[in-house]
Amino acid sequence: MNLFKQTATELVSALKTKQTSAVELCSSYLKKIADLNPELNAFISFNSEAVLKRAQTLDDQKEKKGKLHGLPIAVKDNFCVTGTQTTAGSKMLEHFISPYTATCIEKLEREGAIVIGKTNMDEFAMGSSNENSFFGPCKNPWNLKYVPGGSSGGSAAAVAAGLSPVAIGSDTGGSIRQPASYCGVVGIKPTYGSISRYGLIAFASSLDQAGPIARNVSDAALILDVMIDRDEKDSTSVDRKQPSLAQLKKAAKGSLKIGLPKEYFSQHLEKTTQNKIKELLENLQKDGFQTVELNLSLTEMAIPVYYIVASSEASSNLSRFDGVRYGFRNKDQSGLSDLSDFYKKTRSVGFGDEVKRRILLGTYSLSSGYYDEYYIQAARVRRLMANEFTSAFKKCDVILTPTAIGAAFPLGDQAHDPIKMYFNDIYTVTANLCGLPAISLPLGLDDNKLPIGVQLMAPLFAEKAMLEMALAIEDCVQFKGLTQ
Amino acid sequence: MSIKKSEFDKVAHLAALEFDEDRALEYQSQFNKILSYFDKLKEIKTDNVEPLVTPHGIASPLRKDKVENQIDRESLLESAPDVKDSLYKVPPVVG
Amino acid sequence: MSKEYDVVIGLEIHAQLSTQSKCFSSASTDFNSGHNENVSLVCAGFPGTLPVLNQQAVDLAIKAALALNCEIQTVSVFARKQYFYPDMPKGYQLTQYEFPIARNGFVEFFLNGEPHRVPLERAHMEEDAGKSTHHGEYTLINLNRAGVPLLEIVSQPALTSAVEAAAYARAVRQALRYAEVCDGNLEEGSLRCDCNVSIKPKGQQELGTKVELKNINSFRFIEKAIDYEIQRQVQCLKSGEEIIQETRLYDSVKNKTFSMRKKEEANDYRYFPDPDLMPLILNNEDILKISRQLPEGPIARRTRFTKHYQLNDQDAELLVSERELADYFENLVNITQDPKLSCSWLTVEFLRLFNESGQKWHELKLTSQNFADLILKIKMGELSGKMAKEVFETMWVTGQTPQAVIQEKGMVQIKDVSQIEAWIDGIIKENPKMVLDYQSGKEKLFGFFVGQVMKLSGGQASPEIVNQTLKKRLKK
Ligand SMILES: [Mg+2]
Ligand SMILES: [Zn+2]
Repeated sequence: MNLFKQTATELVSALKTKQTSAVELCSSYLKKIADLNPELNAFISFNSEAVLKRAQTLDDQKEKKGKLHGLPIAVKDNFCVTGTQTTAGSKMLEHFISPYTATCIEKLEREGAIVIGKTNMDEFAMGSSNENSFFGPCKNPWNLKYVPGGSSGGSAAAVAAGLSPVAIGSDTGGSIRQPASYCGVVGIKPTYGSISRYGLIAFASSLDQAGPIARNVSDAALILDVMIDRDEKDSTSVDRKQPSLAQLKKAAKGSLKIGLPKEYFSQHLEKTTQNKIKELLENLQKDGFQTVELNLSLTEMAIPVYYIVASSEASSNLSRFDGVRYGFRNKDQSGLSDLSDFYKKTRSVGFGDEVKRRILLGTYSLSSGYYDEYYIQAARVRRLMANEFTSAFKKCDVILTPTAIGAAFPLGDQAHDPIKMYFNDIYTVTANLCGLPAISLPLGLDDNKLPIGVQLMAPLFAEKAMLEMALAIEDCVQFKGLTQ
Repeated sequence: MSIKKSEFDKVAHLAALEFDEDRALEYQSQFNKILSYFDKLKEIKTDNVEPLVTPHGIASPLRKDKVENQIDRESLLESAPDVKDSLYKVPPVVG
Repeated sequence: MSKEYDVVIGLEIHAQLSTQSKCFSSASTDFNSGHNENVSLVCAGFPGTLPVLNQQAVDLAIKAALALNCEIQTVSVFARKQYFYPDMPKGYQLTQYEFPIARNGFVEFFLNGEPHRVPLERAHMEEDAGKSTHHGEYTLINLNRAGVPLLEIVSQPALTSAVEAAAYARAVRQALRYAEVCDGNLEEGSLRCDCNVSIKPKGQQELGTKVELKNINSFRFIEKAIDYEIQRQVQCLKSGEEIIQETRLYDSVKNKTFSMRKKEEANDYRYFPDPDLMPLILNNEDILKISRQLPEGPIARRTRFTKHYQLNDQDAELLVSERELADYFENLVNITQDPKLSCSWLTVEFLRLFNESGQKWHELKLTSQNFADLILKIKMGELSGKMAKEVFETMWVTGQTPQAVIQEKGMVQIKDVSQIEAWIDGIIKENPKMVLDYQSGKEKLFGFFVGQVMKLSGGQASPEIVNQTLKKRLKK
């Protein structure tokens, strides 16, 4: 049995029936990580000894009741996991060892999952290329000269390269879906409030959601199902009380109506992606799925609204990194004239460029005289956007769009133009702003043999329909990943 | 909308960040580009629109008044850069 | 001093709500713990942690606001007030800003017998910061207090003198203690008072520049600090100086206020609604339920005491000044059925020992039942005043019943009429002039004879029998 070719779902049953063991599985993956990671840089840290110890413990258990018993999972490094270095990709937390575990990771562990390592990411999840990591950029496994996308680049690259069967990412404006698209894997951002944010190092509180990255829709759904739960430690978490997402059936022919917002197929979109989507739609229509054109007139406002809201919240969320209770403190304490010098010395060195840029932007948007003009205006337009989606979903069950304007771009290509970089998120940020569930799944390869993704969005809490449609698309596309 | 040097300095101060002159200029010019791009938001009429802070409208859940989840002091202070007498130590605040 | 100036004072009182755990985290609020012992990852602002609001803090805030006659808001919102300070772990304080839990309201009190009513602007919930101690070369931070729930009570700038401001603060404390939402201890900081003081030339409409006074830890100092600040501002204006809008700290040793910062930094708190918390939604039934639990307030009780027990204003005010004292009084009266006598024993002998001993109410040994029994014995004439006092003092220390003390001390009353008659006859024989004077109308001398009998009996003669017999014997 080639362990690396098995899906997570297959591995879980192989573990249950003792065709393999957690120790065998983990040591195979750890060996592959040790071999490939120096070049790929998908992991910031992994502790083989601790992983194998946990694997042994799980193997020793007589009853293998957990839904994920023995399954290795890679976790983005902005999730706190007890005893692990938890850096959020920042110098600020380079040596921070978390004293606790995030609720959603705890839920995975309780079902027997094994955190195999912590994955690379843009610093504090701010970025779309993984180039903003203090620990150096992660590379795209399809072509090492290209970015894997971001900010969950390490998680997407790890799954695509077969360094982990599944991975956990976080998505604030597309940070799961865009790297999933760039790396040819599946990534889900569920409805806001579905997965506890407790223990996820906050970037933008009203936008952040955790979610799975996997090689196929069923694997992603398996993980998602375990992660979704109301958490008393997160005031924004909701009680969904809905049936399991683990038992899904491919959407029956013609059972769902697909909305196509024309603003998402505008001049920004690269030709190959456009053609691939056209091809897919033709096939879906052959299968009896109806499509309906939609107008989402506020689409071009999404980027400004997103960057104002996200930066405002981030500027505040990142104030706690002050060098007093944990994390980096600048040892150079010379010439401090007052307390604010103390903070400035630490924060100016501890944060990277993009993080500082967003903190400044957010601070400005919240400052007196600009608050109404920027933050409040953005929050109002956000409401209008949410209303627009509510109306749109009266005409369709799911909305289908490209995930990104094209395939991955070369490393260093956009590093000096922040606005161009911000544009990468144009199709993904609306789901975060409106709280909607969204998934990216592979659509094919472009001329450079780099993956392209397609995105589905659904109404709040309508993950089931979205995933069933995704299964139908997956079946239609028949994408071959790197490990297959 | 463009931002003056003095305003940039004020924002940096509020954010507890400092930049050398060259970097400050670079940031300031990027900042102005970003802001002018953001200015198209002003085209949207939003009178009487309630700002949306969180995507769903649930009410605040409340917690029972029970003492739990305290962390033992050693684990808490293990993460701290500087500690004296089990207290966090920082440079002098007054004077 | 301020004949030429109007004084305008507004108070911001921070009251610690008496919860077991903190406002947004489940760490203990215990005041007496060791350094950084009452800290959770949430109150230390660890990466990834999130706030969850304490139900009891909300209930106590509602109760307090109702006791202060406020209108409870069915929707309130916590905002982040952002500034860097080492004792503020998240870099922001969670506080209700645009949408407080309570608005309007008023506080009533009596000052020199005159009724006052001070209007309130609002009351809002927020979390406390930690505690910094400064040691010259460095500052140390204790987070035990960080995240403790507070209610900030903001008066309108409607107070016009230091005395009135202090009386207002006392009345707020009293109301909060009656409602059992805050223990009101200024020294320990469970109640903190910031005073905004400004002056303006008499008759001028526009308000003067306001100065905020902090660090005041007793009611007496509220008065002194404000008085000093008024004087300082008057001097400023008289000498043509400008009053700077600033925060000043009161130094009770020097009785002066000092500017807190050397250079005044422009504050821009960048308030915005906390996206980690959802709006606090209250329904009217819950509010009503809490209002039903609200005990009678001090002002209503004062009125009832004067009407129902026919006490005078001063006695009534003294009795209601502390809820426990008023409760104790009513317990006494329920048994003795004698408000006047109970009041006089409570306000004189009881309060003397209470204040001398510095005891707390829960430490009291003397139960109201035993005290009432003593008062009844006094009323029935079973004890002389002197004996009663002695018995009372013993009861205070031991908590015994009056009967037990009397027996232990061998303080049996002499009720033997023939013995008492013998003493009286002897006294009459020895003081013929006094007897004559008494008989010719100097009735005040009666007390002299009572005293003489008591002296002979060692204070043990029954006052009742002494009175009756003396009256009989002294008749012509
Ligand atoms: Mg205030
Ligand atoms: Zn306050």
